[in-house]
Amino acid sequence: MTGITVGSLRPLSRSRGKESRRERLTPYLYIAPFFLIFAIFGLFPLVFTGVVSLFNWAPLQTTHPFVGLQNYRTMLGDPLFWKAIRNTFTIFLASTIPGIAISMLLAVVLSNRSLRAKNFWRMVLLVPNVTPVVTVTLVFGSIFGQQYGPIASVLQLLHLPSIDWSGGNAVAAQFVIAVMILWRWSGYNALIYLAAIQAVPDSLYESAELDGAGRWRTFSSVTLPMIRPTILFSVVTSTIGGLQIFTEPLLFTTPQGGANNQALTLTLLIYGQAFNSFKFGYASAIAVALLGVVLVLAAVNFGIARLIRSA
Amino acid sequence: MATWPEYIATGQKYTAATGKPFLDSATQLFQDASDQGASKYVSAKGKYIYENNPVIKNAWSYATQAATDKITGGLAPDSPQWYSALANGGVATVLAPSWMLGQIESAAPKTKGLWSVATMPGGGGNNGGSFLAIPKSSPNAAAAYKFITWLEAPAQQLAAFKATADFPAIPSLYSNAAVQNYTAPFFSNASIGKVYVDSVEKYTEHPVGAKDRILEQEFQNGVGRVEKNGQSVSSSWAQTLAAAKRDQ
Repeated sequence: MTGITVGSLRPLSRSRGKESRRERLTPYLYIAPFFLIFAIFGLFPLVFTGVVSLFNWAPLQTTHPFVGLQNYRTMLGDPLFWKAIRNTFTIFLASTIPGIAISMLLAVVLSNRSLRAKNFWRMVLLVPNVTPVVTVTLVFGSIFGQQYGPIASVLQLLHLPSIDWSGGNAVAAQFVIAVMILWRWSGYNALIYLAAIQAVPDSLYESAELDGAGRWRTFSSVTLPMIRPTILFSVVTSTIGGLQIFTEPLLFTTPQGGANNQALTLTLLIYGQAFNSFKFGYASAIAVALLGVVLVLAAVNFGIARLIRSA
Repeated sequence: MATWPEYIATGQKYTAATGKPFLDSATQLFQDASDQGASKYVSAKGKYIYENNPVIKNAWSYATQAATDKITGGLAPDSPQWYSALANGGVATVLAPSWMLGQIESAAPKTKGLWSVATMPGGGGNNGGSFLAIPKSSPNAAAAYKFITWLEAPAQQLAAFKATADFPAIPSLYSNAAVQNYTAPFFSNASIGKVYVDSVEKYTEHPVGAKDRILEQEFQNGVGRVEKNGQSVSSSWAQTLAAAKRDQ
């Protein structure tokens, strides 16, 4: 609309062809800033990572010999890479599956009409999500201390052996990291579910009530099917976040993900290979592999979404 | 306690008598002991020598000995657990560079007068430090150099030492009375100045490779597996060497 108005105000001496070209260009100019920034900070690094992955590339070195697919071959034979993949997926599953259940429970509780101080509870749910992840990790690190801290005190009271959460035990370390992720994201997802639940038409609940459906039946046959796309959306976002877990294992254990690499995630491995071992080429190859993993998971999610829509 | 074996023997007695850890962590012992030799992970020509270097092997055997004797607390320096242990008397000795004294003092103010400072077993060592560099692109490199030179001059270092007790880096100051006679009531008026001057003067330097930091982390992980997971010393050594070779 604006474009047409502006055009009609222009002097008549200008040729039509020139004007329409300007008009055609204007919208592109409006969106150009985003694409420019994306090209510099998004597309270029993406492509350049792919290029670097084909070289034996070390910082502070002036020559970078081309090695072809050698970095990828090394990666496929690297037990640390497979360990990082396993860790990433176990932490991701251990945080996402209980996360959906907890968020759903919170959303159902909050959608209760007789609940008081609704806005207060909604605010409370968001607080963990706006807490800086470094703070979260340090606080949870203190809570899950071996000798000191609330959990150590409880174990001592019960005469149970102390647990070295960040030591070398994979289950312990991954459990704590999953708890940190749950704590940060359950409230956020609950709010999304809550919005979806509130969008379910009341008439459906009334019909269910008339048909004599109980609370659980109403939830499983009305609420759940109606908010299925929202659940899928939250699974997609947690997939993207879950594959990029970095700060929690780095600060809770060591840059190698602990003495046994028990909390080594893919992003942590990329960081370590690049900035501790100075193997930029190899780190880039792993980054490209991570992109592949994300694409595969995105395709799986897309397939499920299509199945649900056609169901 | 001039040597590590003596230190560990004392620790065994202490832990047997009190049931508490003698030192914070075996990984820290490894780091400090491995910093005391004339070589570490690489030779002067940049060749990796850690596998057969007696300095590394000795540091490894002292650290794993302390770990298997269970005289260590498994407390990573700077971790919240470490600070709690300092404040609660949960650890008897800390292998501390001079700057760590300030950390102890601020983390555990109630332990004033309960600490003393003595020379580290095996003498002084060096784990690197901070350096000032001027970027090539600096618009005023000459002035920056002049400023750094002034900042690092003996007079300024002495002033900084008097203000904050940060140990000076210039050898000419080590004979200075203010440095030599430095004591602090928090550390029972132990002769801190003499202890650290002595350590620096006896210290031998070692070549540093570009990957020393990551190699050190692998070795510390290895000691940590013995200390915290009960992995056998020989299997952890093999795992450590494999990880180190991968990094080099």
